[in-house]
Amino acid sequence: MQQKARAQRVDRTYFKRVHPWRTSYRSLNWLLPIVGGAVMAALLYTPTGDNAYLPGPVSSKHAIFGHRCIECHESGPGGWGAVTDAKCISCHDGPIHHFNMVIPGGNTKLEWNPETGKPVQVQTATCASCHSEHRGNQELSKISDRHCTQCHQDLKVTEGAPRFAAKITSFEGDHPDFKILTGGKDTTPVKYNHKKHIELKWSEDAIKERQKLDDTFIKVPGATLECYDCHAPDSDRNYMQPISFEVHCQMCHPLAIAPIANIGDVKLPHAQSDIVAAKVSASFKDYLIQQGGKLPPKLAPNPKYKKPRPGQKAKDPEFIEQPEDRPPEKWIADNVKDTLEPLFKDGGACAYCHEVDGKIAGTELPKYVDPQIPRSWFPRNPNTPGGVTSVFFDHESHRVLNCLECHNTATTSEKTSDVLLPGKSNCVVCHSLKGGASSNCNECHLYHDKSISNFIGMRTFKDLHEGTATPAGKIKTVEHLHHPEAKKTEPEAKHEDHKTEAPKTEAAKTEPAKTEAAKTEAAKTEAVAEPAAAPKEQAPVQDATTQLCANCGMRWPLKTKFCSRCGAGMKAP
Amino acid sequence: MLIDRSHRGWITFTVLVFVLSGAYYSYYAHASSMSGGNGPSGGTVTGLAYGIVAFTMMVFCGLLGVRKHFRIWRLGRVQGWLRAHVWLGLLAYPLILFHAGMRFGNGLSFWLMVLFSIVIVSGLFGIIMQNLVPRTMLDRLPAESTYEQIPDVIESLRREADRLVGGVCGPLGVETEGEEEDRLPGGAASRMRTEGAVKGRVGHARGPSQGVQEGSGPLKAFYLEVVRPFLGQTFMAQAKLAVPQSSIAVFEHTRTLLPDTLHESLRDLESICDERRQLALQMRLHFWLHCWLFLHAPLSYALLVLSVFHAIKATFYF
Repeated sequence: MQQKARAQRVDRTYFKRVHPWRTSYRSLNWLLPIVGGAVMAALLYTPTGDNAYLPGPVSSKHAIFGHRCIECHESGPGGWGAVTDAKCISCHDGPIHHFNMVIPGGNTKLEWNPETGKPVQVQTATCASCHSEHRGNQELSKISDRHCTQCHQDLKVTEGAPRFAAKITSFEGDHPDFKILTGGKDTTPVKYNHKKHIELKWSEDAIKERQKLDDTFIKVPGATLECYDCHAPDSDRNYMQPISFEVHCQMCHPLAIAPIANIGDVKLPHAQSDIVAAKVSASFKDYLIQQGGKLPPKLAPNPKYKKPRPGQKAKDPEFIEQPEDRPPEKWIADNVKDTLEPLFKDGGACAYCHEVDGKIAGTELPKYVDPQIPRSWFPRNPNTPGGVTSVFFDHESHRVLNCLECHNTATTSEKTSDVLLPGKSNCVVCHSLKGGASSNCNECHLYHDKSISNFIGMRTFKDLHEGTATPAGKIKTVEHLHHPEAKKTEPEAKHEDHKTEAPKTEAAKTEPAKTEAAKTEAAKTEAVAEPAAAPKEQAPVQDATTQLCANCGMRWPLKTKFCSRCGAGMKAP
Repeated sequence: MLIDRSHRGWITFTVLVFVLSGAYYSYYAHASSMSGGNGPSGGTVTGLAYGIVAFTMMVFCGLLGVRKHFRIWRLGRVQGWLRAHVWLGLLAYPLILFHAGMRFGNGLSFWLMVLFSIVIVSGLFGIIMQNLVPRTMLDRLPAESTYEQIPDVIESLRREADRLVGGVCGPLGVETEGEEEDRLPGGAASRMRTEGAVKGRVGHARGPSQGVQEGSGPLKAFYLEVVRPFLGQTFMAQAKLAVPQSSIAVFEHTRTLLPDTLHESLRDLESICDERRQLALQMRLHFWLHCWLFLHAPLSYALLVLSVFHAIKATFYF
C-alpha cells in the first residue's frame, strides 16, 4: 500500500471537528459537579434537607427524635449549628463532677450574677465535646479515658486539697487501691463471723424453715453453706440485697422464747427492743384473755427432785405446779421481766449480734444500733443527698466467677470489721491489657452523679410525635429549669406569660438566633424595664430539711456545703 | 501512562506514607478504643488531620485537568503531574478511610465514600488499561488511524473498494457518495506510523477504469452481497469477514471462482476488509482505553465539590 494513499484518507483538520465522546466527556465534567453542588445547596433550604448531612445514625436513646435536628442543635442562619448545653440539659440534669474541680476549658459552670440576680453560664457549653452522637447505637456515656486523665493525671482543685490521688493515668498503672482497703475497717455495727458460717452445713430443720419462706429453695441436708445461700442480688443485680434476719438467719437462730409461765411458744419479732417488749407483754395479756382471766399454775422447784445419775431417769419431776397467788398485773409484769432479761442483758441474746446505744427514750430498754449494711463499700460523696457513691460495681456481669475467687478473705474472716472487698490487684487479673477485660475509667466511675438528677422532662407525647419538641417558652436555659416558676403547669405559665412577659415572647419569636450573651443582656434590660416580672425572680421557698443552692436553685440536704451541680455555696437560711 | 521505572520514587513515597500513616492510625484507633472512647472518627484532632491531608491531595489531583488545559504553564511537566495524580490519588483513599475511622458513614459522608471508591476503582482500571491496550494496539493494529477520523476512513475504504471492483466489473449499480472526490477535504494528512507490526497489503486507489473483465461476475456478486455491507459504518460482528480465519476461507473460495487476472483485485479487496476489521478493533480498544474517564473525571470533580460541602457543614455542626 502506498503510504501516501493511506495518509490521504485522513483529514488534516480533524482536530477541529470534536468527537461526540469528547464533547460529552467535557459536558459531564462540568455538569456533574454543578448538579451535585446545586442539589446539596438546595438541600440546605429544605425542611429536612439537613438529613443529608447526618454523619451517622443517632444512638438508640435519641432515636425517638428521628431526624429532627432542632432537638439537639441550635438553629441559626443557614442551618443548624452546634449542640449547646442548654439543649442537652433540657432533658439531662447532669451535675458537674466536683464543686472544686478546675474545669479544663469548657464544661458548664454557672456563676451568680448579683446585678441581675440570675445565674449566668460562664463557660462554653460542651456536653457534646465528651458525648459524641451520630456514631450509631452506642452508649454516649462511654467516653475516652483521656477526658478523665486530662485532669486526674495532675489533679488540681480550686480550693482545699484534692480528695483523690493527684496522679492517675490508668487503672492497672497508678490508680491507687480502694480506699477502704488502705487501713479502713468495716464499721457495720453487727457481729458476724464469715469463717464460722462458711464451715457450716445445712440441717434438715434449717432447710424446712427456709423453705417456708422460699418455696424455690432446694438444698440437701449436709450440704455446705454457700455464699449465695445468704447473699442474693438486688433488683438491679448490681449489688447484693442486705441480709435479712427473717430469711437468712432465723432458720438457724430462731427468736422463740422458752415456754415461760406455761403460755406456750411465743415468736418474737426481729425488731427494736421496745417492740419486742410490747410483743412479749401482749402475749401474756392475750393468754389471760383467752383463759378468761384465770392464771396458770406456777412452776416451783420440786423439793423431792434428785438429779439422776448419767444413764438414769429422775424419779420425780424437777418442777411441780402450784396455784398462782400473784395478782394478774404483777403476774404479767414479772413474766415480761423474766422473759426480756435474758434477751436484753449485757451479753444477752440480742447483744450477741447487735451493739447497744444507750436506752430507748422514756424506758429502761436498750437501744440497739441499726446495722444499715451498706449497698457498696466505696467511699461516698459527702455532697450528694444520702452520700451516694460515684463508683459502681456490677456483680451480674461477674456472675461467671465463684464468689471466693474475689472475696477470698471470707474463708478466714472472723470479725465484722474485716473488709472483704477485693483489692485492685484482684481486678487487674482481668481488667488489664493482659487480662483482656476493659479497664476504662467509666467501667466503675460515674462523672455525673445521676442520683441527684431531677426528672425535668417537659415534653408531651404530642411534642414527641409531631416534632414540636423543645417548645418555645417551655425550656430555655439552665436557670429556667431549676427555677420553681418553671415547674408550674403549662396553663399557669401561659397565663403568667400573657400578663407579664408578652414583649419577651415577641422578642424571642423575632430573634431566634440570639446568643446567650445577648439573652443575658436582654434579661438585664427586662429586669429594669419590667418590674412586673420581678416576682418570678423571688427566692424559692425552703423547707426545714433542705436548702437551696444560691446559684442554680438545686435542692440539697441541710448538711451540704456546696452544690454538686454548679459548685456554688448554699443560700443562707 | 505506563508504570515503569520512572515511578519508583513515587511508589516509594506512597508506600512509605501509607505504612507510616497506617501505623499511626493503628495506634490511634487502639488507644481510642482501649481508653473507652468512641473509637476513631473524623471529629477527633487526628481524624481531622487525616481528612485535611487527604483532601489537599484530592484537590491537587483535581488540578491535573487545569494543568492539562494550560499546557504552556511552566509548572513542571504534565507527565510529572500525572505521576503525582496517580500516586497521591491512590494514597488519599486510605487516608480518607483513616479520617472516617474505616467507616462509610451516613448520608453525604456515605455518598462521598461511594464516589471516592468509584473514582479510585475507575482510576485503577484506567491505569491497567493504559498499560495493556497501547501495547495491544501496537501489535495488532498496523493500520491504526486517528480515532476521530475512523468514520471517514471507513467511508474512504468503501469508496476505494467500490472503485476497485467497479474498475474490473463495470458499474456496480449502487449509490456511492463522493465518487468524484476520492480525497477527503483538507488534503494530505500527517505522517504514517512506522513502528509496530506494519504488514499485509492495504487497498489502494486504482487509476481509471480498466473496463469489464471477463469472468468478473462472481466478483461483482461477492462484493455486492458480502464485502460491501461489511464495509459499512456499523461493524457486522457476526459476519464471516469479521473473523480473520473465516475471512481467509471466504476469499479463498471466491478466488477459485475467478480468473487469475482478477486475483490481484481480490487481494486488494481482502486487504480493505482486513483494514476494516482493524478499525473495528481499534474502536473497541479505544473504548476500553478511555471509557473509565467518563466515570473518573466527572465524579472526581463532583467529589471535590461535595467534599467542600461536607467540610463546611461538618465544621459548622462540630
